[in-house]
Amino acid sequence: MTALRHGGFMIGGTVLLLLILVAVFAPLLAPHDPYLQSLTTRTKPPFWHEGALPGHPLGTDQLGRDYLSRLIYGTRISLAVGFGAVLISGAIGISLGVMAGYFGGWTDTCINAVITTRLSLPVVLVALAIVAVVGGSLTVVLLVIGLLLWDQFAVVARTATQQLRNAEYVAAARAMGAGRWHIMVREILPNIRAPLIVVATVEMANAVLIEAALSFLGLGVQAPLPSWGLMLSEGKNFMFFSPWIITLPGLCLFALALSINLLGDGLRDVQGSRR
Amino acid sequence: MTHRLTRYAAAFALLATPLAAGPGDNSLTIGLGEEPPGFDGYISTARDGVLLTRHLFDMLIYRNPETFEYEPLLATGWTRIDDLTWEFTLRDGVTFHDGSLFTAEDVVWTLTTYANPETGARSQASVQWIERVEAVDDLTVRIVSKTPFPAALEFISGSLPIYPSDYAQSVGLQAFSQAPIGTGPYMYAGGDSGQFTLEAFDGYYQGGGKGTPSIDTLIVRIIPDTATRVAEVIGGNVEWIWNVPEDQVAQLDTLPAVTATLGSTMRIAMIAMDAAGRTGEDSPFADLRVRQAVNHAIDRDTIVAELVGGDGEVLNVPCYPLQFGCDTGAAVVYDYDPDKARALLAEAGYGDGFSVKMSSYRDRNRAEAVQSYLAAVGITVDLELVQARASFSAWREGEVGLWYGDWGSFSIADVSASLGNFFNGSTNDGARDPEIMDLLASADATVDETARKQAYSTAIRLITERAYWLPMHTIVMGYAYDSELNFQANVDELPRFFLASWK
Amino acid sequence: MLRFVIRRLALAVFVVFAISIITFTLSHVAVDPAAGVAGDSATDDDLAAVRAQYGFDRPLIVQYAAYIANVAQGDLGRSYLSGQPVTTLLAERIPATALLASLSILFALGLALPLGVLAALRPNSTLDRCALTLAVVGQAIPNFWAGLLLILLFGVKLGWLPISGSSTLAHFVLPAITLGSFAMPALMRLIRAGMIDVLETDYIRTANAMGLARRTVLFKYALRNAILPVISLTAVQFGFMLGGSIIVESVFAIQGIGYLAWQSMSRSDMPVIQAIVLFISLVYIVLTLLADLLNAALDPRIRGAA
Repeated sequence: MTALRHGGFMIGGTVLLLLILVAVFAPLLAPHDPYLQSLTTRTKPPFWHEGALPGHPLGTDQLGRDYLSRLIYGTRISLAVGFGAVLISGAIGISLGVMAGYFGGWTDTCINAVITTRLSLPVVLVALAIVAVVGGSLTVVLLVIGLLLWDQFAVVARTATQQLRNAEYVAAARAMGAGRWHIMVREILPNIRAPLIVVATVEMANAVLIEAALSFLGLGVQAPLPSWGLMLSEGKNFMFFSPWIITLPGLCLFALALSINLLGDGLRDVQGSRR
Repeated sequence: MTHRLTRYAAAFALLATPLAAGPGDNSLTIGLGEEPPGFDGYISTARDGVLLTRHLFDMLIYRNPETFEYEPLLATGWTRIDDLTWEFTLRDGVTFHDGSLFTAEDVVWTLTTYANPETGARSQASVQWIERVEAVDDLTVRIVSKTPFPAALEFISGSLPIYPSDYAQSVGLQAFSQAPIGTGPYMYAGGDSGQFTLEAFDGYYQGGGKGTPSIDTLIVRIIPDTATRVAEVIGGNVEWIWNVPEDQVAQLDTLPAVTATLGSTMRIAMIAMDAAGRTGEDSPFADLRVRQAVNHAIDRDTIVAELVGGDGEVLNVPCYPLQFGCDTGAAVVYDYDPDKARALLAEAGYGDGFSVKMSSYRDRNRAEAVQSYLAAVGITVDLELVQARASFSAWREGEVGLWYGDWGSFSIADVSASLGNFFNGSTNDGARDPEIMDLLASADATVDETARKQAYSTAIRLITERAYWLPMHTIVMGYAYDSELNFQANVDELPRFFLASWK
Repeated sequence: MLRFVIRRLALAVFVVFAISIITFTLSHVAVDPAAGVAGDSATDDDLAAVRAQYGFDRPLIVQYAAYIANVAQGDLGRSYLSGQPVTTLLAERIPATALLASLSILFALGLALPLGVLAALRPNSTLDRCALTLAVVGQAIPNFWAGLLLILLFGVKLGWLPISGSSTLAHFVLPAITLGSFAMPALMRLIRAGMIDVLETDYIRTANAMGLARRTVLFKYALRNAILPVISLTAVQFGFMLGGSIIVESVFAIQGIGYLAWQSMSRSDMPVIQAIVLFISLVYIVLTLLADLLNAALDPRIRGAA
């Protein structure tokens, strides 16, 4: 079936696109400055509760900042980490995987050992430990997650490369005297795109959730940035009497992760049915 | 380890629901937020640790929480022999939790051991004034200070628990810290890092300031996450907590099963600045104008009105107003004026602003509010909100330019315990101002009240003139507990469960 | 077979050393270990004294060798904070995490197995779609958020289950559901996919045609063959749970090693952090090693692969 007819793919893709648009046009969409505090109008409820303040449709947080605006700007942080981490981990993982798959032999064994080592590390713990030592910030979180999530890229790239290593067009290119790097970049890479894009979606969802978890534990993005995970952590003390403070950012995270996953699943199904 | 395994085996055997606690079996389940590093009161000096120390051990004297007067506890009488010596008559017939008899030997051993800096008492200020301790006879003891030390009785009643010398020596201090024995109204009855029990000691003597406990068992649970702790009180699984965030208190009080109050404390909050350049030679706070700018940049009235609650107040002095020597009239007061702040920064060459790290732990909202006010005048604050111990370390090791912390002075009603701890050249001191250090040293070395007051007034004037701190506000402590519990919060921030009872 | 075992073991040993180097770097190179031991109010003289006493001034290689020698003897150092031996701290808290991880895996398998099998039996039916939806949802939910919601609903509003602490089995119900919900989707999909593949094979069709009871076919033949990759994935997920327990343990106040790790990180108690990372990695390595060996023993095709 084609991509456009696959329900999950369409839903996931649309929601993700919407969120990307929200992130890009945040300054136009957000009714207030997400950093503007107003200590006299704290924890006001959303419009469907009594006591709500006009001008703040989703209420205010514990420092009087407009909740809707913070949620909107939060898309920027999650998407920045998602895309950034995937670019870094993709670059690392795909390079390692293609080299391992193409050269085989000792290169493969060594890279395999490195992959297994990375797989044996408890990712969240190591990320937390590094941030605890270095100090939290958006850049640090992005880098740390990017440097830790490359394993699936490597594994999939390696398998796919192995399958293509002896394909006809590769043999032809070699016969014509093309160099190894040329073959890897020009012949192999373009043809292993499909499964790697699926991996990219999985890892992107992972990156978004890991950043949220790190910020939730206080060892990720730092105040006053409107990371959804940080908003959950800041809001959890209020959850008994103002439950919207934790439901909204959680729903946003869920929506983003879900849409990415649906997109990835859809891609996988579409590719699977093509073969 | 075996203890844990048998417990799990038992749990497997019956998928049990929590026991009927509380008034039913005369027990009280308490939720604390940070695990104590053992029960040694000289090491575990965080407020939760001080709470436990007061229940497990006794000091020589008891300071009445309401009148602040001294009453007999382990000592029945005390007299001053000379400028350096206090003599204490000890109570007869007091036994430790293991049945051994309390004598002068225990006082001598405990205080001598901890007065020795190598033993590693966390608050050296509490013990370093002691020159020697001698037993006159089995029930009489003399404490001699190195120089005339005016706050001696305050520290003796507040920070110096007495340990059994035989037991502590035989097991060693490390083991003692895990399995303590004292003379206090409650004894340690076992447990582990997540939960332990204190049981009323039925051999506790009569006639001391602490009375006789009504509640038989204290079950202490360590629940680090504030939201979880509050949830447990709402659900009734925990019957007493403190450190409840101020905005939760009013809402919790509306629940019929819970009583929540805001109690005043002697704890003062401040923003300390790195004037001495511990973070680096180019610390912006070495410049007086920058420090003054910070003093003008923050709207403390709004912070107190909105984020402190209860009867918290704005402070203009680096001490708690009721402490001896805390002359509020001597201070230079800075008003909230962000324009002036910006002008001062520009004058100092920071017209484009600068970035700085600030560490805090008590309250996220207040820390972020401060961050926002400073951002408005061009100072970008990189906020590190961590646990108390880590925050203190960061300040003491000179890793941060700003520290928004607080200090309870161990509930000691003397200025030497508050500003005396922060401007004396110790690791707490971010100013390292020799003139102020000298003034404090002179005040510490005399018992003449007028001379001390004079020195402290001058010190306060200098500290505020030179804007080393931005004194913020007094801290209000939120308590939440079962409505059936008779409990009284005290201004010295020390919950006394030996005075509590079920209705 | 022997060749495979040797290669696999060699890999495991290499990984153990690599991890030990990483943890050693974290604790000795990234932070100043002397500052950690000496404490808050150390002067420069104190720091120098500590360096000499503990040997922090020796070349890194020598320190690393000493570290490895200590670990081999079971000495994981002392906590900077409490001074207690790290092994004692770990030993106290491992049971809670082990119990949590086991219950979580049981919960995950308890949902994944029946759902996966049933979904495979009726592909594209409503049940199948529900199961797949559940899988996608489970994978996308941030587990700390789910934990908070569970506390709000079952702990506070309904009051059915205890919220914090680890004294009875009931205390582990909400945490196990929270932690297990992350592993459940992957397991369910794997079982479903494996079952679908197996059910389409010739010998299953033959068995059905021969009139064997549906049940027998299902359990004796199909499931047995589909289960193999699930064993590996279960081992992997168990390892993840040990590492991922940090969030669930701090939300639910369970005194396990995940929570200990977080406390240590807030206070830069490096010996404890390093020991926990090493321990969890070791468990993971052993589990995957056993799973691989088991797979190889049961499925000859695997032994042949490079």
